[in-house]
Amino acid sequence: MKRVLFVGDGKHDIGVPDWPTDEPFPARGVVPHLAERVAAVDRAHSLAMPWSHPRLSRFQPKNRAQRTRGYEAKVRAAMLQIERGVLRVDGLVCVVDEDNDPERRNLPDVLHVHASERCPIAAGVAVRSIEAWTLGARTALAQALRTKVDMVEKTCPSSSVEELYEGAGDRSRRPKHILQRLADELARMKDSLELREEIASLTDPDELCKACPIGFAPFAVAVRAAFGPPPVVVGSTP
Amino acid sequence: MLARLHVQNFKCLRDVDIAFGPFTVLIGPNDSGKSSILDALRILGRTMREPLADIFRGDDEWRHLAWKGTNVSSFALEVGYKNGPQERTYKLVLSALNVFEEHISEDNAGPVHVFKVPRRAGTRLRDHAGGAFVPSIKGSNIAADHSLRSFYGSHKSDLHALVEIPRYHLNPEHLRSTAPTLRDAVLAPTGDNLVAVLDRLISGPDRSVIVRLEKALHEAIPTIRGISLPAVAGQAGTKTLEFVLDNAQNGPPVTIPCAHASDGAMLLTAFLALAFSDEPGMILVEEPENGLHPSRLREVVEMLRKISTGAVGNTPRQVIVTTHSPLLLNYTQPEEVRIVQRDRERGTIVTPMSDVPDVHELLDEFGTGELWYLLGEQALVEGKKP
Repeated sequence: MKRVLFVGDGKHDIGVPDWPTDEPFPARGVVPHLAERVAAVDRAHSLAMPWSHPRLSRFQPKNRAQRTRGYEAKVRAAMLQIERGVLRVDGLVCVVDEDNDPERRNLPDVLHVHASERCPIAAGVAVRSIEAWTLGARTALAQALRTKVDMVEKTCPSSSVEELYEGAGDRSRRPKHILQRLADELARMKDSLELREEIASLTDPDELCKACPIGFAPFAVAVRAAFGPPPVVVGSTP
Repeated sequence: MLARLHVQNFKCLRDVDIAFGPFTVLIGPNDSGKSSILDALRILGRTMREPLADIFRGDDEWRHLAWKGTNVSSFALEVGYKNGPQERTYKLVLSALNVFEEHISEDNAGPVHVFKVPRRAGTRLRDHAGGAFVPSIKGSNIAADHSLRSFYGSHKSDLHALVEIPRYHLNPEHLRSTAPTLRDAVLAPTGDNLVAVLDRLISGPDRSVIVRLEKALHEAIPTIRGISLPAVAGQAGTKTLEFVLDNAQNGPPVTIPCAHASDGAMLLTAFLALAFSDEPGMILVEEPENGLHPSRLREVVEMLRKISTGAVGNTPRQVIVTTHSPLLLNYTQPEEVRIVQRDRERGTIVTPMSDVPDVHELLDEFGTGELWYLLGEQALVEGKKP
């Protein structure tokens, strides 16, 4: 099982530290749980950092022969720290929200080029936001909300979860609003990090791959390729 | 130029050998030993001008200065100067019993001549420098005398540079203070007296000095054309600093009081004043980044480097800088940087950044400061993990 560094966009993706710290913190959130479902990732002992973390910030002079920019530069900063033992993990898993920038879909290809033997990389793009990776897991959603899949289907829009966008004019097509409505109407709960983690931990990766063919499916393949398949536990459902 | 400092059992420097170039930058966490390195130079400098008994007392008593990790019986401070391929060294050894020794070596493999020095006296080297040298009469010491004379003769200016080594921790507010004009004004460690030093340069015999200073200042900050030092009203003999700026309306130049000038302008002016004032000695600057906008750091580094080579100033002056700024470090070359770390057992450890594994490969992508910031001292020095 590999301990990895998760780099992502926010609380629901990778968690937040329980205390003010400039150091990487124990990984939480949707991405680590899903990574654990699809690959040999030791989520419980993995670390996380937001993209905005100072330890990923770059202020390099412009005259470097191999200068990198943006997310790529941040990934190179993380890799340097992993390869030199500053961050004691076995690899890097990073996810960005596509938001309103379709060019980000190319990012995994750009980042995977940098993978090394010491630091495998699995990168993914949540299309169009990380909530798709929760809303696409209908069976797990129903289980976590202690309801039936039919009920979830009725409350969710019929279109693909990868079309939902937080900036949509129609509020009923905003994924955070949909999740909150599901939690509230079906289980009198609030949308929370804990709820999303529970859903992620119950997620059937195959179901989510079908629901999120652009974002999650290639991410799952990348994580498995980088860190190997998850161990088969005797007696568990495959 | 001081090529090397070797320190044993002094403060946190159990056994540290550090090579210096014309421009050397020390980086490391607080309490890693950077200041102790500068202290070793300061103590050696004092032995060039004061009797030993006056130096090693009070805060600088043996028991305060000696390494405390194990039972040590002596500490040693050694400086090395290049003489072609050979290195000449001078070492001062101080024992717990207040026995002093000076060791002179004329080349790497040659004999080491030793003088025992009474505590109440000064070193033989100081006697030489002060013209109070009394030749030895014993046979064995005659050769040592010859060696010392030769050493002093070859490195006279370098040794005088050691005598006064002010550690500049320049504060822009102090640099802006008015000052009475004095013929022998020198810049104070925090920056007081800048106006007096500039006045000394302006009123000196060589008018070209101030022209060259203003030219260098203009190159660093193109909006500044020059400086002027008007008298302060009501304070006889006291002056203040003003900067002469281009007029945006293409009219005659305008002046602004230094109170309205940037911290960067003040700092660069101070460095230029140091470069053009004919004081001997190396320049030790602690944290020149303080109060400076990051965009000015490149100019500060370039200015200090030019001072160290003599490209700016009257003569080359060796410069040693300590910094906590990765942004400043980004403007340095790995050959200029020494990484200072502290180990509980071994005390301070100094590693040239150029010895970092794969450093040149890493520098294709990362800046020197970035490497330091992202990895920290230990991981930087140790290199890639298997």
